[in-house]
Parts: sequence; structure tokens; C-alpha cells
Amino acid sequence: MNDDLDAIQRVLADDVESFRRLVERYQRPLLTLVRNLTPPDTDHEGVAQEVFLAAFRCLASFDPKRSAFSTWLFTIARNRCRNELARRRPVAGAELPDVVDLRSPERAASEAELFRQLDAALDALPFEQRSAFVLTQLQGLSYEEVGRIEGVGVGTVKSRIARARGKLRCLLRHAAEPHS
Amino acid sequence: MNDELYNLWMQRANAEAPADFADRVMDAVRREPLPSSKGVRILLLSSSAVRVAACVLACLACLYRMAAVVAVFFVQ
Repeated sequence: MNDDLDAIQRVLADDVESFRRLVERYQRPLLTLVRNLTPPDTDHEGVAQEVFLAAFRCLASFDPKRSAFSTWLFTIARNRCRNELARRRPVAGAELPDVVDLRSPERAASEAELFRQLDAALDALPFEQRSAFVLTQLQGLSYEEVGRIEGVGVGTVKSRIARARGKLRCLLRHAAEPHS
Repeated sequence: MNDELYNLWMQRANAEAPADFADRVMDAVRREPLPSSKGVRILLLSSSAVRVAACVLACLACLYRMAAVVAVFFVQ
């Protein structure tokens, strides 16, 4: 985006305040990404702030010919989240949670419980699947952009998303079926 | 029903930024050194031609040093 490049050029010309334009434009998608790639008890705002600071420090190395600024920023964020996850959760491969019956009289409570379980299911996905799922489904990035961020081909991105979506939909399907 | 729930959950996953988030980031940014002051060094390191040249120079220096050591046994 030309406005991003303009802001970057201004920052590199020592107009630090122009960085605010980038922060205000990307704070929401970045927080969404961090919130969905790290455990719930993480300091999401702290991590997002570190990502912006890392981007500021390395701004001179950003090459607009190689990727959009958003792709570059999300790559930093994804790697930062992976490091945070590795530091906090050394044992990977948590089990998917048990399903809940939505046809109970307390449907609203059950829906809240289902959302909690979907959050837990997302949390339990392998990081690569989770990252690909969040970047495409929540951030609305294309497969090509996600491939650049993840450093893999489009086919790999598609298969990771399909596996992630399959697990989440399986949870939903079980939740909507009556218990036998 | 499932799609409706799924979409609701997806919407819920979108985070709102606190009103003062950008201010806090900018406060931290102002404490950082200017990125332009590190620009030349980063640009040099990010250039593949410069990296290749540095590798070639290092290899030549290494070969020269090895030749100097081996030459000790052959000069006389």
C-alpha cells in the first residue's frame, strides 16, 4: 500500500511520529493475530507492542519489492508468537476438548461453553495449522500471502487450513448432534 | 446452525485495540534509537552481493593463512 510506504519513508527520514499511522492501521489485525496464536493468559498487548517495536527497529531492512508491509509485519508477529508458545508450552499436541450438547435447555450457556471449547480446540492445534487458519480465516489474507509468511507453498497452506478447519468443524458437528 | 455458530465464534475472535494502545506503542518507539541510524549497516547486511563478497574475502583470507602455515614446511 502506497500510504504504508510513504509512512515508512518518513520514519526512515527521522519523522518518528509517522510510525503512528502504521500502528493505528495495523493494531487491530495484529492484536487479533496475537490473541489467536498465543494462550489466553498471555500479555497480548505486550506481545503486539514488542512486534511493533521490532518492526520499528528493523524498518530499514524492509524491502517493498519482496512483500507488502502487512505481510512483513505479520511474519514478525507469527514468529514472535511461535517463540512465546515454545517458551510457555514445551509439550505440544494437547488433546481436543470433549464435546458439549447444545440441545440442553441452557442453550446460551452451552453456546458460551462451545465457544470456550472452540478456543481450546484452536489452542490445541499444531502451531502451523493454527497460524495458517488464523491468517486466512480471521485476517483475510490470501493463500499466497500466508505462504510467504509461513515460508511454504500454497498447497501446504491449503492442506494446513483444511486440517485445522476439519478439526474445528468436527467439534461443531459433534456438539450439534444429540448424545446417544 | 453450525455455520451460524462458527461465524459467531469467528467474529468473536476479532480483537479490539484499547484506545490508548497506539499511544503506548509510540511512547516506547520514542525511546528507541532512530531506525535510519542503523540503516546503512542493515542495508549492507541485507544485500546478497555484499554477503557473497564478505564470504569470498573470508575464504581467501582463510586460504592465504593455510598456505602460509603449510609454506613453513616447504620453504627450506
